[in-house]
Amino acid sequence: MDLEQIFESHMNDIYRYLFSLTQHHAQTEDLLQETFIKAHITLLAKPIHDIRPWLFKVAYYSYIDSIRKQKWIVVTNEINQIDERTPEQFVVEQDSYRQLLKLLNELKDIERQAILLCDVHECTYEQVAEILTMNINTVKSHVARGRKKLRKLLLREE
Amino acid sequence: MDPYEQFIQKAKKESKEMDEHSEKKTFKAIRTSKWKLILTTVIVILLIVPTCFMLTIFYYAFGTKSTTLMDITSQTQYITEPNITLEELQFDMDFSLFSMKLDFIQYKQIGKEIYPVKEYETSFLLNNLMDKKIDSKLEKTYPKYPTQTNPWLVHPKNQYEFNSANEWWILEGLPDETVVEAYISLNELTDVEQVQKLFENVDVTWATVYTGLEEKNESAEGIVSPIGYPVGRDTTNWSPFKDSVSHEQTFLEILEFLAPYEQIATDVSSHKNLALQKRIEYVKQHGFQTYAVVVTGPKAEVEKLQQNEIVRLMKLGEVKLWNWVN
Repeated sequence: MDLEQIFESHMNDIYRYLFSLTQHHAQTEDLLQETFIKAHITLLAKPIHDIRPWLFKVAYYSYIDSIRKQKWIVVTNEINQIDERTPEQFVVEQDSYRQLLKLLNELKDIERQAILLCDVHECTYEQVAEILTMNINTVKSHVARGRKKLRKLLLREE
Repeated sequence: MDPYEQFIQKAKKESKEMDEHSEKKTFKAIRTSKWKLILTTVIVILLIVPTCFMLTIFYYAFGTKSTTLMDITSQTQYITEPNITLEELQFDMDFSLFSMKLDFIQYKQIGKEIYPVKEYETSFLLNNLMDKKIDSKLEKTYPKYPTQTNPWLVHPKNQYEFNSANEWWILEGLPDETVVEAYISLNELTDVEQVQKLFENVDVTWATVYTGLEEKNESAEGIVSPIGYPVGRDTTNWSPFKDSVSHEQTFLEILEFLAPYEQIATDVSSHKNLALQKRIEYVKQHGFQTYAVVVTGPKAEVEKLQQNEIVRLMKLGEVKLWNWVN
């Protein structure tokens, strides 16, 4: 399969994942582009068998890199974010998905990653362990803790 | 299904609806990412070439200077090649990636005229001589691979490989309307001025200098060949011997200049070893004495030199039609 076809079949997943992390469309597009550049380079050199979790991993590290860079630049994206969204998007993002992201923000970063990958993007524990470079049992405990906290938060919201 | 799972399912479903809005953008992202990659690669490759070229220029400007390499090449020729002169304007310098090409022409005085005799094409990789091509127009070629006994300029105590009697015989057979270049080896060590006085009707063009190694043409490094300097007034602007008060001193200065670059000088010359340090020490201690010279003049005048007691051997060089004008 052509590289571009591979990317096209996974791009929505990766986009959503990155959006959940950044919650900002422009930044998500930048990261998506970066992810695909990195993927292009690696895939030219060697074949990857299980491409989906691997793409998540590349996206995750692109996000981590961007966070590190951002530490040097203190900019708040709040105003831009409001300006960029169309009313249509605004409506779409108002509901459960938006709420989920909001709730996830209240978790520890690692729990948020575990929940996003495991429950939202339907990765197996093995895949999540691989993506986050972690022990599988650690992943399981992070997921369990995350779920527990989210359930509590949901009850509180209701 | 518990409320948590319901909530997640709902959120997932809704997030997929968002895809429609982002699909165009993501397609664009994929396409741009590909072009960005190609463009970055091309730019990097394109930048490497000029950067390397800049590095080359900097190397020849501030490292081993290109003019230094030119001086080493030319001055080596003056002291290692008998009866040779060079023209500054005939030096062609050309730079390419990490290398420099240096082309020049060697001239010889035969009779009263100067003739172009050899075209050199040398190429340096940084400061190492990589290639040397010589296009010679000479009819008599000086031995290409030097040994202890094949030079035409022979120390009184050294052996030789040519038949001097035959050479005199050949000279005698030449018409009187010719001028010749002859390599004369002497019976004893003497001053160049003394030789000039004795050979008054011909031009002495180049004189060897005895440096303590020429009895055997051997040094600790291996085979060495005769070195010397041009005699007579040199008016070419380029020449290191131009207007020099003492050609001996200029010769010594050249040896000292070449000493730090001995490897390059040896590569450029046709000699196997130059043994510069040893020769400099010897000359400084014992002064300048010659054992063989190159002369040029009318055939009849050179023939007369045979009668001179100091002359031991003669090897005939180039022959040209009459041009002896005083």
